[in-house]
Amino acid sequence: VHEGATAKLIEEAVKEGDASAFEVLLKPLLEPGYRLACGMLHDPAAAEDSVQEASFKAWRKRSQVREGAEMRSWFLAIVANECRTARRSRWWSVIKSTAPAEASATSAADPLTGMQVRRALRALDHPKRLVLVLRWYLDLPIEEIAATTGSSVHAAESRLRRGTEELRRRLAMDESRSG
Amino acid sequence: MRAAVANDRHLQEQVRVALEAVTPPAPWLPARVIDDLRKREEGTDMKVQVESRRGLPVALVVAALIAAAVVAALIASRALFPPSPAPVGVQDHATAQYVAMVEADDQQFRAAQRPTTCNDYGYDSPACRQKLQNAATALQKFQADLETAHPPARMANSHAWLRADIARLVAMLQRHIGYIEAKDFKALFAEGADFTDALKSYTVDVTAMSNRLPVPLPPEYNPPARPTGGDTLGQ
Repeated sequence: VHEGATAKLIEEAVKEGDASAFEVLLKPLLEPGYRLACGMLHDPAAAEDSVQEASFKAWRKRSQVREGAEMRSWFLAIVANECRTARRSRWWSVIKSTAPAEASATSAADPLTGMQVRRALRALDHPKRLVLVLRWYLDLPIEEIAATTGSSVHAAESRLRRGTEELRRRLAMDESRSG
Repeated sequence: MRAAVANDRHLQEQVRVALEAVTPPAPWLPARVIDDLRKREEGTDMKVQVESRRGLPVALVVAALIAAAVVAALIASRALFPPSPAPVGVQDHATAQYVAMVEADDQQFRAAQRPTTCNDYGYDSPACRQKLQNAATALQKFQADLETAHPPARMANSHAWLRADIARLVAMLQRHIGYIEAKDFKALFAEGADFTDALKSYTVDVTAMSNRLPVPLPPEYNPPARPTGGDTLGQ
């Protein structure tokens, strides 16, 4: 009861423009936001920029804040939108974004697998890639994925299934090309 | 990989490992974000952070809207008080012709530099290299057209700025193609921000010309010697 009351107080303080209260709510969301941005952009520097920009947008939209899981979905939706904007606005960065990751991401066991998987992920459209990253990288329940993507649970499930099928198909094609 | 393709759980694990590899720890991120928020909240950093990215185009849009309002007012006043018919001025015709050339060449460059190929097939693919080459070729044609064009006096500054920006972009693209051929991606990425800046300046120049506006100068841009005269509306 005490925690719930405190959360409610923080929520109210944020809505009234209390920046410190907003920081309390925001801090635990930065890590999942950064993981989401890295999963979407494959470029840590661009991911940091996106999270930073998303945080400022979240502050400006603070009247919509809801404490708890709802706030996480809300913030992740802003980060996802920021990632989409980042990919659209800087055409050169789509070249840039692939390489630092590829250069540092190889493992001794299977140096090609990571590159193949990321390349296949990049070829998916934004909505499909988003549900795959939210489900498989951030381990979010399907209800929260639906809230983040602004869709129904059924639609999120369907998109996840189609995204998985397409990813599998692309990986199989990539493998058959490489022999 | 075959096993991964056959099995959902394995595929999920492959995705997780692949993405973990592009997610290095960023322990400084909370401090950076909070610091940025505080600065913006104080208003000291907001202009730098937001307007440096969007302010210039926004300013142009606002200026274009004002110009459109002025034109609409002029048209309205002419409708009420029709002037005596006058022949189309030679200078207006030259301006229209020049702007049409700029817009056509800009369209060709934009068509050549769309990002999907590098995004779909990767920076090391021949298709990506070809895309950059196409972009460089389109810009070189633009460059050649500008060299032989006779800009109207009021666009002399814009003309000079555009030429400088295109020369900068062409040189960068040629270097980037060289980096890709040599697989020197470190050098390629090192120029990413500079290229984005140059592309931004180019876009500002072309947008200003299309709207017959003077070219504002990005603060971070280190300009060549500025030509004298011109670029003043109504001259």
